[in-house]
Amino acid sequence: MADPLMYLLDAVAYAGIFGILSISLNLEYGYTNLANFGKAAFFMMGAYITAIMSGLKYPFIVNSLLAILITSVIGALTSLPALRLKEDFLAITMITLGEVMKLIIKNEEWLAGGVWGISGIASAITIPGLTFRERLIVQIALIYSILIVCYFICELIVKTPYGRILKTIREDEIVASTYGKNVFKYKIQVFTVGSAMSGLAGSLFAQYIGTINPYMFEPTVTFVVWMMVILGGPANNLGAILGAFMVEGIQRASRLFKDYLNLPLDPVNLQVMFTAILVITVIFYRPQGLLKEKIKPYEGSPHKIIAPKFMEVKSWIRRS
Amino acid sequence: MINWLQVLTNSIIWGCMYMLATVGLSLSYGLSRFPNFAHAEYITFGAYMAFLFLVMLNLDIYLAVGLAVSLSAFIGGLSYLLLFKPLKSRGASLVHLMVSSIGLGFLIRHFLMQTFGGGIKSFRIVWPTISIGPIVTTPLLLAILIVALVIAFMLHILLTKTKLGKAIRATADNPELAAASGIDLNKVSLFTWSLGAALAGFSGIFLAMRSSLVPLLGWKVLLQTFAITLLGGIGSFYGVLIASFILGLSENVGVVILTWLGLSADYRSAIAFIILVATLILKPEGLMAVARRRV
Amino acid sequence: MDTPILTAESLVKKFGGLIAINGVTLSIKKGEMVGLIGPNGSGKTTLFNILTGIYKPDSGKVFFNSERIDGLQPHQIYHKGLVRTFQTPRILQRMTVLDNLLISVKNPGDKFLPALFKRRSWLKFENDIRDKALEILEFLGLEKYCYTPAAELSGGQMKLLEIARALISEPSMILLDEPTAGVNPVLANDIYVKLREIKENMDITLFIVEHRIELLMGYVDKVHVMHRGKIIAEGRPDDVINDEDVIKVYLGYV
Ligand SMILES: Nc1ncnc2c1ncn2[C@@H]1O[C@H](COP(=O)(O)OP(=O)(O)O)[C@@H](O)[C@H]1O
Ligand SMILES: [Mg+2]
Repeated sequence: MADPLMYLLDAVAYAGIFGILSISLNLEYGYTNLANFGKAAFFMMGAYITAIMSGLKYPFIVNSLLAILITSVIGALTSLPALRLKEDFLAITMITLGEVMKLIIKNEEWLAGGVWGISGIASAITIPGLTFRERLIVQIALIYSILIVCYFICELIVKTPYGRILKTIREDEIVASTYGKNVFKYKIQVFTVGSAMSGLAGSLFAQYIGTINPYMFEPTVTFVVWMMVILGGPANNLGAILGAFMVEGIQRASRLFKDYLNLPLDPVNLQVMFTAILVITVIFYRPQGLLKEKIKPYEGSPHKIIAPKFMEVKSWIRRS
Repeated sequence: MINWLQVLTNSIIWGCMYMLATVGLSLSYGLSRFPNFAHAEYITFGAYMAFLFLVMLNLDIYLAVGLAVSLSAFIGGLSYLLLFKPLKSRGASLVHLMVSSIGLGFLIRHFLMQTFGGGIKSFRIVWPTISIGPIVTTPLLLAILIVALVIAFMLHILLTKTKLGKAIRATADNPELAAASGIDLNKVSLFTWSLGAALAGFSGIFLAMRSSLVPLLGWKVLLQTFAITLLGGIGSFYGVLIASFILGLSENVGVVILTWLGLSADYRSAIAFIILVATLILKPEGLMAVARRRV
Repeated sequence: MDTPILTAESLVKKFGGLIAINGVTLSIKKGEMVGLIGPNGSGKTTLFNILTGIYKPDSGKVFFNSERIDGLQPHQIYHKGLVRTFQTPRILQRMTVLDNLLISVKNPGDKFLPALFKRRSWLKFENDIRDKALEILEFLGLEKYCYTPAAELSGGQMKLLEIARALISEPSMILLDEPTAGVNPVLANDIYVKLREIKENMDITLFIVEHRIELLMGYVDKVHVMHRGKIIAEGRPDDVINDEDVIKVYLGYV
């Protein structure tokens, strides 16, 4: 892109969209240990639903709500057979689901434009008379307000007794179920919420870039999101967003770097190889990510130790 | 009029190809207890190496295939030694192992794309067609059939008659017990990973020669390899054998049905997905459960 | 007092060719403190896994408070009032000790929508239950650690935490799988003093797997002896210790 500022703003917008994916994966993997390797599939579904609906002249709000609804239902249904089993089965099911989804979209030209994709997707907010740059800023405002909402929803979820159960499931499913938690139900719920958020991210993506095709949703997308969570720090929502920024930044920078040094490398190959090496390095040397999980009581503070209570008669223990 | 004998022949040949592609995945999954998503790229890697030696360097075909298969084995062994073994000894979680394997897969694939370019390549061999009664086939397909059957037989001997093979089966069954009874887990794993990658590379050469060579060659059969692994039962060679032919048959019959329904034949890989999901619902331990999962 | 709380009828469990549980029948009365001993690999842990629904028995029945519970999921069995501890402590490493306790209580904030939209109700509940949790932690001498990540506890403290976690849900019966495994002898004795106290004061039936037979015998009302998946003897500690079969089993193994 000719204008460096535009390049930067574009990167910021992308980081925001991927930030939503990243915190959704963080809810699934970081807090509940659900290995969802189908992020690209739900992202794609959300984008295509928005694109198709936009072609039918529906407004963005309807499209995105529909995207949320459909992705969450499909997420719940497809995860059902795998959720009772161990995490590797879920991983296999989801990664293969992504391939099947792409297959359908590539083959059903009447529905989704086949390999050519869909173009002319209306953006969510159209204010007449804005310059290209101003429109980008409006987009960023939209994307980031949704990102912030998603962030607060996730924070709220994990800081309740509900979130404590999710962590219990992550630490030890057997303990969760012997202590009365219906693990399966919680997993489905989390998976549904995560899928819905991914669908919403896809919806934002479609209206942002205006043209989509199946090649934008290769499994590399899933991998990039994983990279964000693992680098940023699983079970830390700020970490997940930080990860999104870093990975997006690294990808853009590697591209610039290549242009600058005139390296005889394809930029996509360079990016993917670089991301792969980085992921493996992080898993080796800092598996807990940059921002560690904070292990503390999720409400009330450690300082407020309930000292006087200790002095009281142990009424409950002593009752006979 | 559908030539059912032809459908059956194709099924068997696809079954052979899938068997070669999957054996390594299933055995390494059973032994190391995680699905190696980079396995698909061993398939691609073998094919590109064969292309390098055969087409670009003009070597003799047997020599070229031999070299390509050995290099695949080398890559398989190397990924165990340099990546998965150290990760396991650091106590990496299942999810971390899976993510690293995906990373390794991308690394291999994009390395190949960088080196050979992303375009479609062809081995430029025109196979003459042979007719045996109502069945039409090519020398390549016959070669696949013969090679796969010979390899399957050799694997059977290896796993049942040799000390190493028995060690592999014992380890897949119960790694702790196997280690306690003096089996060298590293040696067994290294051998299995190398062997599995070699066979995957072999299948890649066949797959590429049959049609064309693309960077997604292996990834395109990822679904099939996982469906076979789960259907057969993780870590079971005989499970792979049976499941490969079940999948080969379902796909080829499926294609007939798809054309009859007026749908694209591309949907054949969705059949593998259906088998995979059905396995998870109905018989998650697979047809021939080996690897025992403990609470 | 004499009504049975837990009854197992001819339970069988096979793992491949191995018969881990081979026709176990037993009955435990309300308010009793009962021991279960037997050599390693005799099927004690497997029996607990069946009673708590982690494994389905191949055949046989389990009744809890006259209700059939085999075939139920572990979380359903928990809600009937039967909880357990684990032989190797299964503590939640990346959570505080307090949270390790609190997960075992049924909380109004356990459900998705109430957790988000009825904050007030679960916050109040959380306050009350935290006090109770602290009392239990103090009873077991863990109150200092209530806000430490559970991974930092010692092996013995983890064992105590397991007991605390079982206690807080106010169950009617607890199955304890080797509560003193890997614990120093002094603490082991303390644990039994506490267990006896729990039994006396809180009206909880205890069923305890133990390998420190002498220690166990001093505290329990009754013992069952398991060998190769079968109950080979049961009765008062003094009778069992002199039982010929039992002596034979232990001489052959220990
Ligand atoms: N999940 C399992 N799969 C296979 N065998 C098992 C499993 N769980 C226990 N066993 C076997 O069952 C037998 C009884 O084990 P266990 O109940 O743990 O004995 P104990 O607790 O009395 O020492 C042992 O031989 C053990 O190896
Ligand atoms: Mg035991």
